[in-house]
Amino acid sequence: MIDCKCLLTTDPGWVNALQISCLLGQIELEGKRPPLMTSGRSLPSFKSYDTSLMAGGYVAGRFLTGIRPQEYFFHCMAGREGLIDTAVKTSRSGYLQRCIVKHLEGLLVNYDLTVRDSDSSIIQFSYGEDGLDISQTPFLKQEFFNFLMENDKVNNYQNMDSKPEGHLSSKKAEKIFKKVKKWRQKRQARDRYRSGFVDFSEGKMTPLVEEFKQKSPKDSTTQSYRKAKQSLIDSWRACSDKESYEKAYTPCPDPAHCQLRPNQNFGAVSERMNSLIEDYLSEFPERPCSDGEQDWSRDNFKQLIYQKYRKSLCEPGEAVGLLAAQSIGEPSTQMTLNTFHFAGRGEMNVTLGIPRLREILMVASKNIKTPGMTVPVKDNKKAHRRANKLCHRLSKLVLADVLEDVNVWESYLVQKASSHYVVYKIRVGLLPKEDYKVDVSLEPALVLRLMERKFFAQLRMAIQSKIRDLQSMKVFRAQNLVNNSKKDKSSSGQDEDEGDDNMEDEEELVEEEADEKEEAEEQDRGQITTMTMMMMIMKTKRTMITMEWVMGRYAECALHHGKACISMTGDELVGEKQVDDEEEDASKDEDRAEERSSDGESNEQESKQPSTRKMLKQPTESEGSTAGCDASSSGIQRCILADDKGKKLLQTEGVNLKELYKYDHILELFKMYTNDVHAMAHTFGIEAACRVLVKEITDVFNVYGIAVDRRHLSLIADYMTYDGHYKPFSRMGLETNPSTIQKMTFESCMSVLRKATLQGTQDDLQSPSARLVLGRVVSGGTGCFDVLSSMF
Amino acid sequence: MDDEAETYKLWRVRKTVMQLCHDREYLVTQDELDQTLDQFKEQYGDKPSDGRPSRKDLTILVAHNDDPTDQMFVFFPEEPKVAIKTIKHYCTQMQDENISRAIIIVQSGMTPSAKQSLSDMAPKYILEQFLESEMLINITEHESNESDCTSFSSLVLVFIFIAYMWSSSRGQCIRNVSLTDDTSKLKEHHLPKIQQGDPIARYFGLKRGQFFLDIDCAMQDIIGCIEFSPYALYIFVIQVVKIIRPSDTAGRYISYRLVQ
Repeated sequence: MIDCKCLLTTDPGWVNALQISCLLGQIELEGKRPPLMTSGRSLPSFKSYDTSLMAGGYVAGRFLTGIRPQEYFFHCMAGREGLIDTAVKTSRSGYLQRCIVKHLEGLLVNYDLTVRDSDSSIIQFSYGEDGLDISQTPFLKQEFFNFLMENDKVNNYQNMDSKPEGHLSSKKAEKIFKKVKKWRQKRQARDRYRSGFVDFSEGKMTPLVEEFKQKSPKDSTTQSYRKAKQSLIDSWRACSDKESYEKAYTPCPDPAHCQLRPNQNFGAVSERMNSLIEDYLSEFPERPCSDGEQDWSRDNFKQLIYQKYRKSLCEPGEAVGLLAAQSIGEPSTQMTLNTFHFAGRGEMNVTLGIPRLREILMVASKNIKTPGMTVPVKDNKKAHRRANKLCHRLSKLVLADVLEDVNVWESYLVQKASSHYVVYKIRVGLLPKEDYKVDVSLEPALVLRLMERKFFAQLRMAIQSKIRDLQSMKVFRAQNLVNNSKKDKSSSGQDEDEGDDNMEDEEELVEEEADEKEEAEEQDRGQITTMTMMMMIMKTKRTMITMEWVMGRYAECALHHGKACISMTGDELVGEKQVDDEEEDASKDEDRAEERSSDGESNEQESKQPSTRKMLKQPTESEGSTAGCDASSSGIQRCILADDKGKKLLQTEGVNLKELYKYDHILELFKMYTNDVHAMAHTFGIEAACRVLVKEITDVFNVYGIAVDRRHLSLIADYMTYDGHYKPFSRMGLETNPSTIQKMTFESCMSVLRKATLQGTQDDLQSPSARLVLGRVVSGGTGCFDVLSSMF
Repeated sequence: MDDEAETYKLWRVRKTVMQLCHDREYLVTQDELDQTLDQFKEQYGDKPSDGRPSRKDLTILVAHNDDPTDQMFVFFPEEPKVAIKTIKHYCTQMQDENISRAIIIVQSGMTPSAKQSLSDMAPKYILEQFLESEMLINITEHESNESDCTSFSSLVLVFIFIAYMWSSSRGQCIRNVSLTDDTSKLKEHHLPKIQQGDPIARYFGLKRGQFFLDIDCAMQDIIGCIEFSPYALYIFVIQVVKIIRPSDTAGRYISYRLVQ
């Protein structure tokens, strides 16, 4: 019975069989286990925080023997999620399809076999690059050649015995094929950077340079070099058999189907088709077809395929744009799972499904969610070894990776009646080197240095800005107080205030020095050698905040004992409020309270920062630590080495193509790839971007096991890059379209109309939208021609 | 940066520049193209920090294959950020030698005024700037820019004239590629575009279409093929890139892009 069911079900049969005869497995809701309610249960029939498998949504039952009520409920939850998903997704994919349709609606195959938009701008010179109708292509494969021959009579082709004449002569095309073949045989392994002159100059330069050196020994090498080259160029210009040199470097002839129009010239098939025919013929050198009544000669066979090819050409008037839009739109409704996917060794995140399609097609966004690069590593042992190191070097190191713990102590310090301090001690413990040396090639000393230079500064900034925020909230009250208490002060009092502040400043400094000494003493007890002190004094009108941090003994010890650990005795946040009136004591308390809370927050920041802000960047070895901190490898977050069928691939999270240029001895830079279309267009040009587009869309569909024909994708990619930059299928992308009515029927009708009215734009009624609006026949399909009859 | 790395970098940049000159059909000798790092060190020295080679020594002068008067300089300025003074200096040098084209390989950038001066001199003196970092590799060698079956440069310059379209040197008409006999069906603005700032367009030094009042001799032979209307006072020259694309469906496919 199971076998029958299995045979009957068409889709992935093994899943059904598994669910019937084995088990249903883990139920997933939004990619997770069923969530817990506030009571801590996943269903009322379980205990709170039940850790059993079933409570977590694992269905151990099978359909054959039945599943339990709870399991059934979970299963229904998953089923319902699927329903909701489809309901929600249809709108998404529907809009996507509409956007593509509105852009591509005017794309037709013309009588010259180019694909043109309704303003007759050429999108492709031949549809799908070979001009074939997709629905006709399945039989144009090698395995069907026999079939075609057997069914020759049914297809009612011409009688192949009679010599084809006139328009059925494939001579022209075959001549081109021969030429291309000859060209390839001759120049298969030719260096790209060769030409007539390069050959001419071969071996002549060195003796010439010597000669010139002897003639005038005073000249520098460059001078004599320049002279030598000049004389060589002169002799080249005078050379009589220039052409014989240059003859070897004629470019490859254009493919036949690009030189000759396939619908006018019999036999002008694409090069791929031609090579299929050649392969087939070389397989059966004598008789292409052994069985069948008809005797097939090589020529007859070729004629047959040429005939079939010509019959399969895309007809003029075909609305290929709409076809492409639907071929993207329809499969996108099937894509349900839409979140993240782990590719490669399960480490790289890639956006997939509808969100990725939206990113590529509708937004053409500059900041894609998961940018990444892939570069193959050169195929030698040295490169492989170095690649590992490079991988470490490129990855961003986060402080959290080397962090052991962070402790914060809070205490009060009252020195004078007027000055109150809240003192915070922050101790940052770092892991010993052994713990991270596998993943990271970094010395503890460097970590400390970077912490000192970068992290503390950033921390300081964070705390400061926090305090500033808090103060700006209090400014109002503080000003009121000032007005109340210091009425006697004139308007120029502010200056004095500042003077006061300066005075206080000095006082502060003295105090700090005292602090410093104390600390120094403390540290002396602990036998420290060095002490690094940084100080920052921030002054606002009424408040003075002094911060300092001290890095001392542990840092030094770390270097010796291998246990990296920094003690920040400092990072004291010393806030002093100078408020005189008694009434303000309350507010002072509040201030303090707020201060405290602010510090609480800054502590949180402290613990948050390591993970969010990526403080420590991997320095490049050569440039040392100082330059290493700056944005040399900016853009690259993470870097891993993946294996792809024995080949090593360097994969990165984040894109910085130019950074990788430096590592040409390790990486195969000419196979560099990124999923960021804009980055590709900026570094390698629009044609490269066009190819990335095709690949990216294919990859999105491939994950779901959907294959979309290349011809659709290449048409879409060519349309998107038509302007020379990457244009989205959105309102913005449609702005370059000349048809106002087409734009109006897409989105924001009124604003387009208003603009068109103000500018006096015309619409020549070529686009399908415009024609439909005015009740005319759309120029696609059978409407793409007119019948002109002679009047007389 | 240490000397070794710096020399290596200069060698790579210079190599790419040579390839660029070659692809633009300037005359470059075989040992300039195939120069190894050791040969480079031998010729120019290996201590860039002591001025051996100083960037000034690397200056290149190349002459065009078809037109002896068309020569091009390649300058390597010493200062990281090129100021207008350097540009002026180069300009006088070009004036002295009667050369109208130059490429400046800058280390990290140009001051805005220097950039402005480049475009001010544009019609008479054509100066292009490239960054050292982008000349480390030759982008036309990237697999997406190279056609599958040939090692020949995948991009060929084609000149189009407003009346008819002819390819640059061989007089081959691209009309039969794309169109019916009625040539008026293809206007140049119907072609797909490539931006003037596109890396490929920059590599080949392509400019967007412009009017020429007098026809310079390099184009004479092409123009000879065209019947000119006697009313034509000037000529509109458009540059088009011919793209040979490896294709899954067709094997090879040829496309054109108009420089815009």
